[in-house]
Amino acid sequence: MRTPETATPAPAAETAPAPRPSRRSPRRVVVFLTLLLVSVLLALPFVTLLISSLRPASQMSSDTWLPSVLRWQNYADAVKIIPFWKFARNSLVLSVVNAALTTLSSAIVGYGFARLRAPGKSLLFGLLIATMMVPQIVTLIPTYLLFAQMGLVGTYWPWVLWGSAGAPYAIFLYRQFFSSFPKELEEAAVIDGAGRIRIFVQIFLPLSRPLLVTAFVLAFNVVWGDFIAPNLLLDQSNTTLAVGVSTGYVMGQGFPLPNLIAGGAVLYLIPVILLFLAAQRSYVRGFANSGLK
Amino acid sequence: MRPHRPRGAEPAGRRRLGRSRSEALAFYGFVSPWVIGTALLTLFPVGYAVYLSFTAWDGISPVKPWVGLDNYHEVLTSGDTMASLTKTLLLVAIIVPTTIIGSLLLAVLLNEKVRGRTVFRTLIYIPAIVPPVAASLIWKVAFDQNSGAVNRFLRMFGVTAVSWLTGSRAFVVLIVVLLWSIGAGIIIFLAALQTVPAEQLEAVKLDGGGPLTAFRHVTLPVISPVLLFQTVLVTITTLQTFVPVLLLSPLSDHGMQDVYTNIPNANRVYMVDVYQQFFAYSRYGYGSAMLTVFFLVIVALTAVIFKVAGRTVFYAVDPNAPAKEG
Amino acid sequence: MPHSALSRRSVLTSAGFIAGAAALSACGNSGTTASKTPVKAKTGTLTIMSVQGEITPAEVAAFEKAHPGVKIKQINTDPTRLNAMLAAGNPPDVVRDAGTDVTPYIASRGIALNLDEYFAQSTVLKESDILPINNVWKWNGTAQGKGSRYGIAKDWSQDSMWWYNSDMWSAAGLKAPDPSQPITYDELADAAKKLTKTSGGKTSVYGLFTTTASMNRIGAMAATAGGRILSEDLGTADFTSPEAIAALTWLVDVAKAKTGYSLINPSPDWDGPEYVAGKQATSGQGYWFGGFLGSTAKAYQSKTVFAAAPMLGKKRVSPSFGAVGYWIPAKASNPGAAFQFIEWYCGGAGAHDRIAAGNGLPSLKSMLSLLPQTTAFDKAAFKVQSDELAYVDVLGNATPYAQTTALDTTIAKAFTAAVGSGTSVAKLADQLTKDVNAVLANGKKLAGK
Repeated sequence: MRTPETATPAPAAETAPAPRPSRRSPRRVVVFLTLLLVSVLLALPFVTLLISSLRPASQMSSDTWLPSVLRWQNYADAVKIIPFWKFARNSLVLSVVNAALTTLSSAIVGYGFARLRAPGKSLLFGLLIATMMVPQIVTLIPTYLLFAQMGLVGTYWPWVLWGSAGAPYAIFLYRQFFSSFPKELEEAAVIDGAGRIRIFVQIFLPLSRPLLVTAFVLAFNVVWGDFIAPNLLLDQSNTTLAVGVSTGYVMGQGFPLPNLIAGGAVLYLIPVILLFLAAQRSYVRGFANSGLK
Repeated sequence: MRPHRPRGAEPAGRRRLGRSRSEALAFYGFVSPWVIGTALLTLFPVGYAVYLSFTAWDGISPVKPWVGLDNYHEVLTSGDTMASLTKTLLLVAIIVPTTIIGSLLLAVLLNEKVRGRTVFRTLIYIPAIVPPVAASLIWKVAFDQNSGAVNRFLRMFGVTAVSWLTGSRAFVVLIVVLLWSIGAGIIIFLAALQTVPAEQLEAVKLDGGGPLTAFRHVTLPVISPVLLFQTVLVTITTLQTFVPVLLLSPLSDHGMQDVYTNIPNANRVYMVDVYQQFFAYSRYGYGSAMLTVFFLVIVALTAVIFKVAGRTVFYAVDPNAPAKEG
Repeated sequence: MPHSALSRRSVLTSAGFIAGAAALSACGNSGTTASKTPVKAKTGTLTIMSVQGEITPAEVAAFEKAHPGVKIKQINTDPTRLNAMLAAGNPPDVVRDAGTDVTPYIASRGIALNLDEYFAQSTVLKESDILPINNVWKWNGTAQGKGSRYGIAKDWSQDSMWWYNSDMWSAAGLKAPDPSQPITYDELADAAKKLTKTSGGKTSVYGLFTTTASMNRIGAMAATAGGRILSEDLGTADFTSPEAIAALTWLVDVAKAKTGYSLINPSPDWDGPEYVAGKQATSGQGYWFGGFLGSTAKAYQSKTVFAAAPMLGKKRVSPSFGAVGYWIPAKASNPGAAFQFIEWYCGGAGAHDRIAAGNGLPSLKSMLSLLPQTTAFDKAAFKVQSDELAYVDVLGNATPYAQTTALDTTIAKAFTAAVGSGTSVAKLADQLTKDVNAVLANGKKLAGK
């Protein structure tokens, strides 16, 4: 086993504990300012999107920072011109179901890859990594043929199947994560006679709360943001918001309505932002305070 | 699951043998959802694509003429293909280190207890979730030569309006667009940072070590498996860069989203080439062969990453350990 | 699975030309599909592949009300989905496409239904009433424009026509062109120079509309000098003819002059918003643009003038770059209802409002009178359009051997590279001829020719 010596805890302290940095220590200030700068820089394009969402159509490409009037009506139009709430509900159902299944299923598989030994495992792991590299475009037509054969085109079942199988990136993530827990964790339990499932459910799952949340958020975002699969398998009556927002804001002649696209996109982002805000709560507690040494 | 047996009820040797067999069984039990799912949902479609790579299918005709290795020969001898592959590798060389180091640093900063970190985290994360259609709008509006915010900003310093979306500058814009979503990785790094034992960090501090020492000797080893994950993931996604290129390409003169046609030559990365073969040229067979070759390139590149990382990644339990028979 | 049977067959095809395989691709070889007796409309689902937002919920409701028992299901236009559905043997019932671009391709491959008998029995789309533009939806096995009908336009325009802002036009000291007489492309380029306003590298007004070097554009320009790009058998291309060189020279010159958006100076949007924002003095769109102005910037109509398609030479030709409409896949499950939809949307009650709003020209002569003619703007545009109708032609710019997108992608690549590096037009013409012929040769090889 590779165990870098650097990972061993530092020897017991001999010097006096360093004073805790105060809330206004110079380091905090530097960190704060750096984050402020980076956030502003990264947020600027998003701010332009917000501004675009309030521009009248005639001022979409005017050479000014702000439009002469803010057209809030864009938002009202954005939810009216496409069946916004219906698409949003479809997206929500698909994303939650798929993300819940993916999170759980990937955790199970990831645990297997991280903590259990078996012949053929490295081969399977290689396959797992390889499937991460398959570009989606390769699978489009055969996937359609497959689901057409199963009679599942136009239904939400493909997302259930995809979720149950786990997602390679999530499995890989869990595998990496579970590998960083000390070995003693389950040795004690095995000696104790606990079954593998019990070890997984009672020890590993609770410990991996930040990761479960992360995997859920990632899987949710994948489905929420996916354009290709719903466009391939669903129709305009039961498709998702990603498809609706991407293709629905057009005028009668088929030309895009950029200010409504901007408005629709901002609304489309709200659930994802809320989810991310909620997920952050799990990053303040977690492993360090879980009582595990 | 194997029912619990009282300890010592069987000879030590047999017990270990039984345990390793049961461990193997447990392994296959745990990974079965993925194995079954992959066989059906991934391996079949991939097999189908590989089959197509030996045909000259146009994507629409009922016949798929078998052409043997012709497509592969063409891929490997095509100057265009090799040029786009080189461009793609250049993009990886720029994007992967920048993104990994950048997002790790950001995550470390965002893990500090600073005022407003929830807001910072969200602002930095948002670019990763903006839908492509909106991102397209953002960038075309921002980089437009005549009314774009970028040129409006530069004008304040007396810079003459720059044509951003054409010629070799388009590649610079592509890099900017890719780096914009640098925050995608912070959600994973933040989760990983929670696993760093606070006691060890405290110990380094007590030992007189600064935050850099703590980062190098405690944080980095603990999160190294996730760092490896992130590197592999970013490499794979950067190699498959396609959507951001589309976002920057103009509409046709009749406003149609004729997206594969008008892509600046500087941005013809490999996947753009592939998409054009599929959807502009209807060469499903040739496109499939291009993808098969590309897949092998990705496998090779990933293998290198694993090989290099193998020496530095620290696992508490080595998941790569070979299965030992009792 | 159906595809495994297909794959076996395709292996046989290449191994040798076997009777079974020949029968399978028989329609492909003869280049047409035989006309069949119309299938009666069935009740149930009617699947339409179209762009989202085009067929509105109100239109769907109106059609369903007029055709009880038929339920419309819409799928977004997506080539992958279409190909996958065709491969799975369950294509949509109706597909939206550009007739000028796709007809030879879909008809020669046997994937589109020959609609001759459907049209023959139609009381809505009567042969005598159908405008000549719909010849672009005809294919006889060797040429577009003749033979059997494979589709019909929902509405259309003559897309080399253009509009100008008369205020800007006179402010630049330009004399208003005679609306009944086309100007030359050189005159247009000169006017564009005068109309363009640039300072500090920033152009506040472009004189010329967006120009893209494409098959449709180059072909339409060359046609006005009596030339064409594709050979009569549609199997080769020649960009080195004097007519093609003249067209390319003009396109390269205006792109370099940056008097308008082009492949090397891409527009952030399309002509419409730019024109309405006063940032373009001209718009390179057909009749439907009047309807666009009516619905988005009514005030602009009073200072906007419609003009005939410019000319490179002496021949007045004014084609459509789309004639977007619908075709029915040969394996559609409900072709009867599909044709009912086409009748309703392209020539029946479903076409009425679009045409009356000026959002394009109708497919039927009898509907021309619906076009708006109340305001002075309407009347002027209607007059110019009525004169232009006589110059519609099928240019033979599309080929069965490659999709128009393939040719356009090839052209865009070479054009951008040439203008960027300052290559001569003669060299560009050679390059285009070579590249486009390579694409066509590949397509011919696949078609077994």
